[in-house]
Amino acid sequence: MMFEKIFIEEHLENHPKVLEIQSRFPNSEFKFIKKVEDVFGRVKKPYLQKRTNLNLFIGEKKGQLVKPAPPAYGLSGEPHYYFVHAYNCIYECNYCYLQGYFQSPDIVLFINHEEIGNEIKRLALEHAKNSPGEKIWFHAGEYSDSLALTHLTGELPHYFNLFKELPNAYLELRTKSVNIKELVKLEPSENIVISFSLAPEHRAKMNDLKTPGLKARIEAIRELHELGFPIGIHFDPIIYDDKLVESYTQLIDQLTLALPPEAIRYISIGVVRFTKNVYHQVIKNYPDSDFHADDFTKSFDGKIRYNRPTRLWILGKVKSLLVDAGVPVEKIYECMEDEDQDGEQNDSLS
Amino acid sequence: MKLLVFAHRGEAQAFFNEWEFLPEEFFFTGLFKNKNYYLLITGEGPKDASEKTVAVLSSYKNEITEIINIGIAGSLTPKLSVGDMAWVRSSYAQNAERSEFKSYTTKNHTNIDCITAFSRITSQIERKTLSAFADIVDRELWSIASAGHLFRVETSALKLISDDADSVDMCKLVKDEAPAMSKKLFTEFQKHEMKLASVKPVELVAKSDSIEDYFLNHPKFYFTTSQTRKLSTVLRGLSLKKIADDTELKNIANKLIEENANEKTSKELSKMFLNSLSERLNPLNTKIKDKINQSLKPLLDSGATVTFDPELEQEYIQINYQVRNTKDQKRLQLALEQFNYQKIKDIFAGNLGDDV
Repeated sequence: MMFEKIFIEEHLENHPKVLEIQSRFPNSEFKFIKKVEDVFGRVKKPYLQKRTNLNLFIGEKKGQLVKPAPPAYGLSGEPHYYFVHAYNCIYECNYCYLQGYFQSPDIVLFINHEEIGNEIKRLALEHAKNSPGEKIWFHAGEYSDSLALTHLTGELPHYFNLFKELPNAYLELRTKSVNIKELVKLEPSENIVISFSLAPEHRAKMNDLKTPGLKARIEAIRELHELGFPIGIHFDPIIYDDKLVESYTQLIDQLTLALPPEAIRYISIGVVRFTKNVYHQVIKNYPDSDFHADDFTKSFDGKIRYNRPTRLWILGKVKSLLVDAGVPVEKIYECMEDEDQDGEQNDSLS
Repeated sequence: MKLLVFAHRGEAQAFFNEWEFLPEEFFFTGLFKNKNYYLLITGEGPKDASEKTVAVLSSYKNEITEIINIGIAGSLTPKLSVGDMAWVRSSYAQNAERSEFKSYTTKNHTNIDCITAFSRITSQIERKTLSAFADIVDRELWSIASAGHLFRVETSALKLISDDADSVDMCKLVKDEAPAMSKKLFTEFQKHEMKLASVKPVELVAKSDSIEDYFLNHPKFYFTTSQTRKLSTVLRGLSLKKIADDTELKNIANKLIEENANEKTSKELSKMFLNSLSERLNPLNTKIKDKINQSLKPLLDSGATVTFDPELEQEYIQINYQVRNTKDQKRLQLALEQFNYQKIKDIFAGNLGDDV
């Protein structure tokens, strides 16, 4: 991977992480700026320009560092939060909402993990005090892949140490990556779940562009499971085609060979959906995608989806395939549309 | 015909020398024409470039198929030196302290982005600011691309690096170096045009042979405007999903015509053909609709007209029935008793049965 330009907030010039990144990319052009937002997103940079001209921004996240997650996020009944330590992704899933979200595909890394961690700690302790014995969830990877750049960003030990101190708090690291070399150096923790987004092999090839293939992802799942890391799975977004039943049957077979059904911490299922803006970007950016041939419709909340019988049939069918394969029903959560009401966050990222 | 847009006459010198352009009578001077191109001299800066390009496009929009902005630019990056040339990828703009949010991207390009500055760049600070967004800076491209976007005419841009974007003596430089720079631009442009000309015939063959044209020109079909759009969408979908090739599509059409040509009008045949293609494209939708129609059978058999949301999004049915006597009333009552709305609810809840 190569960044053409690396923009660094001036006050971070001597930060050890910045110095390390500078030494890793000696051929990139370095530019010092006051704030990330002075340049990032100021002009609309075409999404697909990431293929030939990807820049990196390094800064500090300001504002609300940890935010409540939308209702469809994670198993229900427990509070869910997400935190943002990066914007954008090195992968190029053709359904991804990021193509209509930031107005620039450039990668932004926020390196004030201490501050983010302090906020997580504050919320977790407050929750422990107000609701003793109840879990609280924190999700990474809302606007980026949680593992793809960890060899560069190096924040995993910080969060692993933090969550050791917070037994009521759970961390989810959501990924499509197989970049687990930093992860395997760490001791697995019961309250840190590595969750992988999976799709049948032919769909992954068609839609999850530039991501590691299904076999590699399943191999990473096997390795992490054998090392004792709790694993979550996301079948989201599910994209309909006439091979849906056989391809998901095959996917579940492949998965359960690497990760026994009873060892799956949870599995989410959701059908592909777009905001209007993202849908237009998808159609523009991927003119040869079979999304052009699908019969999408504007649904009750303005999002673009398959028609109602189709999407509910898909959810029901995939759920029954999972149950038939031995996945306990209480571990399956459906990204139900009545809960999937606000924000871009519930669209298809990973 | 292509429209070549220059800021300065000096930049266009070689084009005038090599090709015979004649002045075109227009609202302002600066528009020229030869048998292949229009050539427009806008003057420097985004305001003139915008106004004049829009004026020309609005008068000649039926003739102009592409805009090409040709001229000099300043380098904002060490990777480009004076004398280098680039076909611009994305065009941005900076107006005073503010960056214009919109950007325009061209198809034929190198990996070079250009930012159009609304005022001349005279300091290193300004240069540094702009270099965060682009590799080169000019004074016109964004306005020209914006005009092209407005008229849905594709814009591309060929730029020659003339300086390092902090020179106060730009005018003198352009004047002194104009003949050589213009010659260089002309040579590159001519090379580019020859390359394009060599691939053109292939496009023409592909277009005249399209399956869509075959059906649109078929004597047994008549497609309305909306049906023509639908035909295009469905054919594209079938092609993307690799569901049917041209021969299969022709067979479907021939069979349908053979079986129905005597009873159906051309318009009806077109509708049947489109439905048949849609069923192939989205068989699940067809099954869902069949199931709904099966559930509605008691109502339909009674003579009622029953509709449901064609998008299959909202769960409802709408019944239209004319009661003229008590017999009609009883028939409807019986049909309503036999009709089970729960079946419709089940279908909309995704319970489609084992045969799906």
